Amino acid sequence: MTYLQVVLNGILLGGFYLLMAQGLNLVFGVMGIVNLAHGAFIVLGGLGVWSLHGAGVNPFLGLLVVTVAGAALGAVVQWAVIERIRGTAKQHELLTLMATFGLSYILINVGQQVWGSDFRTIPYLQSAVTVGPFRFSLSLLVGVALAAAITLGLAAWLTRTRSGKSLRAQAQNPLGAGACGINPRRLRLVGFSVGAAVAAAAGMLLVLTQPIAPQAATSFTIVAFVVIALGGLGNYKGAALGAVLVGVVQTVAGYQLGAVIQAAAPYLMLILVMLFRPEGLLSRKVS
Amino acid sequence: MTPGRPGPRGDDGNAPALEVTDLHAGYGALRVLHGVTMTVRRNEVVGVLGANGAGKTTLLRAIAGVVRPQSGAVVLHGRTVTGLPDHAMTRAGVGHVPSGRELFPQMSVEDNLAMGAIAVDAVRAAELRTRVLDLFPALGRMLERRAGALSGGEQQMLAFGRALMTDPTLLLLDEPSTGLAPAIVAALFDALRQLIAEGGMSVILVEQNAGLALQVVERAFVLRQGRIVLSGPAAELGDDADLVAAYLGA
Repeated sequence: MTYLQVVLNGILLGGFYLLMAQGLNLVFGVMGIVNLAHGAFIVLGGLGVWSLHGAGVNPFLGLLVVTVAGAALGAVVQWAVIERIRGTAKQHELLTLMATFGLSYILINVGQQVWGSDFRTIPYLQSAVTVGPFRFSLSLLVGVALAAAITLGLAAWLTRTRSGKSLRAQAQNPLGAGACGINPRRLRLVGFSVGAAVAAAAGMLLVLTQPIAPQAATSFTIVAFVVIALGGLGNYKGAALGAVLVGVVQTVAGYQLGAVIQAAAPYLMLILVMLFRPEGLLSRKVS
Repeated sequence: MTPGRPGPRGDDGNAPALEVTDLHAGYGALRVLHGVTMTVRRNEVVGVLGANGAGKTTLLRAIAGVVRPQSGAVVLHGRTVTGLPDHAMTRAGVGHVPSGRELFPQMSVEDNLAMGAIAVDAVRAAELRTRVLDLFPALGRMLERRAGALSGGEQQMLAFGRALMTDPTLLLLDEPSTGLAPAIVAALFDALRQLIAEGGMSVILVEQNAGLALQVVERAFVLRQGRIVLSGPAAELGDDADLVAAYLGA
């Protein structure tokens, strides 16, 4: 493999990371918290598609199924748990954060009951595609194309539709949103539901390209968090830069320094960002 | 905004635009309002005057549902709305131009206006948009610009316009003149006069600049330490400059 090939693979990996981060960003925008159960939604989505594939369902149909299921699960969790905790408490941000942490463990354990702890992947679209001097696995290319399509769809929703714009309005200024008659409770439900749906979709794309297991949920949450921390929390354009950066750094580190550093790379990047650019790479400091 | 328009949602036709009775409100343990009672008639324009910290902004926030009253009652067009959250008050017909403007900085002027009309049907929203751009032609020339990139005066116009887009029957204006150049203040108040002249809307104007407010309002209340200490027709209060000055600490 040439060096350029490694970098290109890293950029493609960044496409997955961007999708993983978008759902987290969305929930952060409406809730003001990082959803620590995000990785669990990703893993459940991926393993759901794996099981459906085992039962003879095409992975792309599976994608549709887990996306809808993710939206439903997200809505139920938000309505039945998180909104209630938020409504009862004064320091609701800390408590909702803790609630998503607990939820993450519950979902991981449910996942281990259903799928066990083995890492699973779907052997699908395994052939290699040659583009000029470069070779990519077809599943990676298809996955990235789908990730890009979902990201663009999400961006169109956020910038062109009433509900998407309300969501951005709420994230940018809750007081202003109230003055416009926007109901924050309903938006939190929509935001959390869409966030979980996108996470589940990201899980499907991941399971096509790498083995996943329930206990990997936490590392996916971290990767998604590193991406939005690099871009600046709530900054959708910054997240794209963050995703590519994490993907490339991780792939290059793996190529040069081995698997241990590859696995540790997102964590090291998180520490560096927190030390030197806690407001993100693109964000101006907000007074 | 349209004269002769049928009464607002849930209206019994005769009730005053707003009745506030023995209202207490504040922030946590901090009490700011200590029993405010005031009535605003239909299509009436009233001012709330007072020094810094008198509770003017808190009074507007309590009416707008941003601050939840600790006790007392808020009745809008005969309907008790005490304790409703801000978004429900907006839908009940209260348009709020907050002192901090509270725009959506990353969104365009056009989208900020559109957000104001999110609870209004499309036909009415289009009418309101035309009306707002007529009142503030400057906004029409910067529809694609981000709200965060506007000057203070332009932002104030946008906050004003966005509140009008909610199709209010009661408009709350919180210190619109603060921090703006005199020419911009004059333009804002011209727009306010034009709106008032058209009728169909009640207005509560909060101002530290009593002289300016008394030129526009019919009646005014003077707040001091969370209580109404003086009220009357603007003409009388304006003549009694010493009295007003004493209460305003001017």
